[in-house]
Amino acid sequence: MTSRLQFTPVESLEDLNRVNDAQKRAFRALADADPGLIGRRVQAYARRWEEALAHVEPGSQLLDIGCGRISQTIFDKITIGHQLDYHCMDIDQTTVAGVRDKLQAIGYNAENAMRSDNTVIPFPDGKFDFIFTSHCLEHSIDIVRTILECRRVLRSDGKLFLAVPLGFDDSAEHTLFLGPEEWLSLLSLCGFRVISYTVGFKYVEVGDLVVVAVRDGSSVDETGAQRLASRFGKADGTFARATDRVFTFPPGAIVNSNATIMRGIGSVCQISIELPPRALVIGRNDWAGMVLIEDGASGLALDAYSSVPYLCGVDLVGFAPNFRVKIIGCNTMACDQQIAIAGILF
Amino acid sequence: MPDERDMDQSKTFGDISSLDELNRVNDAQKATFAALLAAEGDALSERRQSAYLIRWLEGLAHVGYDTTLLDIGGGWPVGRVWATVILAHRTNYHLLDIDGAIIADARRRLPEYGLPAGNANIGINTVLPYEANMFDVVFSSHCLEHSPNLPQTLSEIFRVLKPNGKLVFAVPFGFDDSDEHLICLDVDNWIAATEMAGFDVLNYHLGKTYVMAGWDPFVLAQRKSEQPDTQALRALTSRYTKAGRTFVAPGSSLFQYSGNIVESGSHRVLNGAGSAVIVTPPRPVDGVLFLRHNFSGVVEITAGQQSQLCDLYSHIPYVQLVATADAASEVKVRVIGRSRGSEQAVLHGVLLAPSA
Repeated sequence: MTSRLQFTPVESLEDLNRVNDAQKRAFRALADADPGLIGRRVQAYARRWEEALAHVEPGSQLLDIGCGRISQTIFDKITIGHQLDYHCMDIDQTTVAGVRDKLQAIGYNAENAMRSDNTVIPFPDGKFDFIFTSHCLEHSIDIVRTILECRRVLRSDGKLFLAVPLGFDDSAEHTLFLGPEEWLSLLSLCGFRVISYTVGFKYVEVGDLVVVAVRDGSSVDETGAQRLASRFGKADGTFARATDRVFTFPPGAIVNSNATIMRGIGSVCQISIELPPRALVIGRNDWAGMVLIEDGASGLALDAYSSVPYLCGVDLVGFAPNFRVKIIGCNTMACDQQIAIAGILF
Repeated sequence: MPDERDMDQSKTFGDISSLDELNRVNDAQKATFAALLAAEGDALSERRQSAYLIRWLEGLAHVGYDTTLLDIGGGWPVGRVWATVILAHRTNYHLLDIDGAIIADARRRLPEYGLPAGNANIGINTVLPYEANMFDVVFSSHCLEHSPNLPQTLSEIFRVLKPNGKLVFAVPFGFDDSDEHLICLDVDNWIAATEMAGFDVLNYHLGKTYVMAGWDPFVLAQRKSEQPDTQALRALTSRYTKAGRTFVAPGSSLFQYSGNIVESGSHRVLNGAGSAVIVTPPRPVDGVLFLRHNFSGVVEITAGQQSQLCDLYSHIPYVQLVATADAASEVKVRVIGRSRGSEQAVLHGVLLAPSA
């Protein structure tokens, strides 16, 4: 594994299809190695729909963004079981054609399924009572536009149910590395009121964030939203892993496959990069302690403890290229005073 | 050291040791709700019932059909909830509540849903009148926090559930000054308590779908086969109970502030790194209370020889009890920095040990 990655911007439908195809190939390889994987995914996805449907009145107009190859069982539950007027969109043409066949078979309008990327929702203002979207929004080429499009097509008091992965990974198809707090803030800035959220699941393999938000009269701060999204975007960034020469760890630090761990109060990691930092990527988990990140002029204290493990991008915009990370303690729930550093984005 | 006469702006919480006392404090809460209902009318009742139905559907998404289920503290029967739970999900529904009138009504109506009247029983959540391994599911919304003995309540739930049975519950979290909520666990503590009681927490979400209750965690857990760690659970709950303890508000003369301090209602905001407060009460401090929100920063709390760091940033505003480990006569809180919020802490008060 090389110690550096360069992220290129994903700005068009072609770019999006290119990075997503890479992800789909990787998933197929995983599924070949683990025959039970697809079955478990389908089961978890069905459960997710059950949770969402708790919030939908029968007879509602529903939009599924990034529907994928929806199974017949789930499709029947939504349409026949819950009497919902199902609409959907996906960027993949064959996926859309498949859903159109399903729609026609039960006498629904084939045009309920449309091909589009999620920054353009090809339906009129205020049409929907409910939007369901699972692991699609994070693929947006302009997340603020996508969320505002959701707002536009939802009626007043309509609900948005979304599931997205948490934090940072080094893939090209996830152009953002928003953590739970940032996703919730972004939704508020885009005129949604969050009424429920879940951080992490044990019943699917990958911990993620699930949110139910209401499109109410809340005001929209598009500038603020764009500022937040750009601080948590990878485009044009260089990611140096913790094994890169820019990191100087104390003796005894443990090198893992995706992070380097240092332990104990007072331990210091020095970081010197060529350009100003954008985000420090650390592992949040229930072994993690509290750290102070300082460059001589400014400082940030951070509790890395989390009951759900994920890689978190800590916003360091405004920090100098030379700074240090020092362990200063831990909270009473944490198992250890340690910090796992995965790398730095600059 | 100041004596008890200096304890202005304080309130001492009682203990609850009988069904009668539990009914008394809960009746006070119910009277408050009845007054609201009289003022707002059917619209409030309608919103509550819709919210309650959503809660049930969220729970049923994880437990499915054809189960034997116990609802602890279910309250008055709601027709559309029963239609969904009992008829649509074919649930063998059992109900336990401390209120005799509720149980009488439930017994009258259960046969209409094809279930025996005996499926409804009067009881407190520390003693479940059922055989071991009887239920596939225990559901409980806003009842466990009323337990006068949470370890016993959770151990009773463990007993009546089958191995791998599901526990689905919602509770308020954090500190409030009511008499009916004697436990003030925060979300992480509730999760830890559930695991110590012999359950695997599979999932939880935080929501405010339940009208008027503010944010609450809704937890999905699965009963493990091995016996629970009751000792750890008792230690945790005894640190986070209000019973017998005294709350003192930050305007009291027991608090000595330094740095940039702003009064905000009954709260005191410690602004900027270095701002601090020293509390020297006549009895040991068992915990410090903060109003956490998304402007809050990081504080250092020193009690006797022990010092702990606490990041008070929270997306959801609520009052957290930070238990202090060492029974110290002097406690110091100092703002040391910020994470996502700003360099400030909102002090809500302290909780003192019971008088000897």
